[in-house]
Amino acid sequence: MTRSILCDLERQSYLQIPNDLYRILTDHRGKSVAEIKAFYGNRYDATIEDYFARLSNAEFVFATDHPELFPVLDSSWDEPFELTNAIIDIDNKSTFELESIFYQLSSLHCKFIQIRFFKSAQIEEMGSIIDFLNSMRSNSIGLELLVGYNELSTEADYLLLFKKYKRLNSLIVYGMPGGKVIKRIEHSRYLVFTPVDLSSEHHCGHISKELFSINIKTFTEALNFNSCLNGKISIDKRGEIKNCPSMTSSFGNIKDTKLSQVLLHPGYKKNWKITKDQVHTCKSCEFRYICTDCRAYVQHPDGDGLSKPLKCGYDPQIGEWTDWSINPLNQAAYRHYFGEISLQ
Amino acid sequence: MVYILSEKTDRSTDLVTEWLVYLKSSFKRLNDEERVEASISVSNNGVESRYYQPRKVWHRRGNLNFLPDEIYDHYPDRTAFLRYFTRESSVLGEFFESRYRKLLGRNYIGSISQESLNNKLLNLVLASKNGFLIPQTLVTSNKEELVAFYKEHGCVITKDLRAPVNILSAGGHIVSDGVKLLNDKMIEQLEEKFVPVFLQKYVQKKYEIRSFAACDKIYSMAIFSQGDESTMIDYRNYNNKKPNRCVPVNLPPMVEQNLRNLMAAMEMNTGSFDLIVNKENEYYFLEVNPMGQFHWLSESCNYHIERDIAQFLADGK
Ligand code: SF4
Ligand code: SF4
Repeated sequence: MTRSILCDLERQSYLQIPNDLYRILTDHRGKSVAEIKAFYGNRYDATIEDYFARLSNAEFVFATDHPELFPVLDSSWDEPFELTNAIIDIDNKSTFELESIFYQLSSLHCKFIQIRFFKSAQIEEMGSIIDFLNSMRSNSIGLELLVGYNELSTEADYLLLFKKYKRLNSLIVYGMPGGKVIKRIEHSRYLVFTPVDLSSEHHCGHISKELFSINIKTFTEALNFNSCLNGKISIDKRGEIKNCPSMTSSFGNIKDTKLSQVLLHPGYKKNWKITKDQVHTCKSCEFRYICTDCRAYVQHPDGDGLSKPLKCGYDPQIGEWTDWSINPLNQAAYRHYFGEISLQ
Repeated sequence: MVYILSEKTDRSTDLVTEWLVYLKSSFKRLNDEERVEASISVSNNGVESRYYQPRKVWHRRGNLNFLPDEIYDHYPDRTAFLRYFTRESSVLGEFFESRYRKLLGRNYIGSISQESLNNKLLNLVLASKNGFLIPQTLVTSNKEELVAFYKEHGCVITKDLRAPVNILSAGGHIVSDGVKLLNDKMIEQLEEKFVPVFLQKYVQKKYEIRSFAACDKIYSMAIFSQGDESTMIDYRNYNNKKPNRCVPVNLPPMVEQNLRNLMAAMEMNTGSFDLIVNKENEYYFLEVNPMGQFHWLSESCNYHIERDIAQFLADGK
């Protein structure tokens, strides 16, 4: 790793720092600046002073005579839910009933559902989903909808959905001609129009700086669990129950399998426990606790299941981002997942 | 049965009940906004209630509400009537609290009567008796005295005596914005006669501490507000763009013992305490809020306070 970062969980940002400062902060916890200087034989006093002056300016450090009063922040992650989020995929050929899935998710206290329509928007269909969620009296479920552009649907139609269901957190309309438009409905509720094509599960799993998540919840979760799959359950477009729709292993079909049964399956939660500290390359990346993971698309599909997310263009060894899809090392994996499509 | 007395929109209660559901512990949440049935019979054989046999109570916020909703339609604007009925039925709530606080001891967490009796001046006296420093404080309605206090201490803050201003009047909604530093202009504008004002010498602080106590534990958070002009006086003058640094901190054993003694003297088993640590590492007591919020503290320090409270309520089913 070429650099380290300090994650600012309060202000949701990070600061790049040299690796030797990382060493100072971790190896010499609880020591005074004078002791640290002495440890390095007083040869780097000016550098060390400069480090602490910068950290102090950015309010990352405060001087105290009583370091013993400041305990290390508890890094555990603990939530009172077995499931935290669900993905349901629907295309023109999907035949399963959504109602029963909602009932099951609600009785499992699942708080967030993302429904991805791999087809163009049908306002009535989305409206009836929302009516049903409202009628369940379980309208504490946060909803995110992803839907293909339909020239017959207007912005007003979409806005009405936000009005009808106050836990509709976001609605993304993909494949819309023109540039990306983000409309903020109110705090943390968004209507998004994007020209990008998101019409299949293949479009998931991208890693980029913009998608980093820097807060205490996601940070501690990433320290202890998989930052994408922990607490997740998915129903793919054919009704197969999986960790994520892009994965191959199915734990049964929703037509004849209960979600609660799947959670009892000994293999189901295996992926939940894969942390970035176990994933090759990521384990030496400075972004590993603020980055999401992807276990469905990985660099070595036939490897030990612990290779790096395929759609990440970052190389922690040199500290640079490049386009993952044109990296020669990724071509075999690309063909494996997406067929013989030429990339360039 | 475990009872939770709260308000409909209280987020901390939601979080604790989520944990109780997870722990498969049964409980009843009684919200201030929702009517509960009254039934308490008192005889030589003792007290009986068809509804309430609490094993544990968490009195998070609000009061038991025995009034039918229709009464509000029946007496629209007739606030004097409503006040009368509310006062009448409050006897039951007070009875519930004082009886079960006595019977359940530490298994009755919180108290609404403590909240309404909460007196900043009495608290300062008690804090001082229990080993805390307190800032020099003056409540006065005398201008001469006020000016002398201001001259003597230079840096003086003023804040509400009981609760922040929140007045809905014909002239608009008036809310106070926390603690203010007294300045010359304010003194110039002061009439000869005025309502009693709370004044306190401003203490130069290294950091502030918010300590939340519940279920025999004390959770403390240091708030570094000194570097930020908008929050130098009081961290409640929040700065949203650049939130103050909030980190877990331990109270020195002596100070923690003082705090426990203070709580015992106040007959409280839960509460939020505002403390200040000055440059000399001395601990000042500012105020206590018997029903203070703790979610912010719990999340910033990753203390899982909600889980601990749920665990306490669920224990010994
Ligand atoms: S594992 Fe990858 S493809 Fe699956 S949901 Fe997570 S990011 Fe998307
Ligand atoms: S190398 Fe791994 S941890 Fe680093 S940015 Fe890429 S996916 Fe994230």
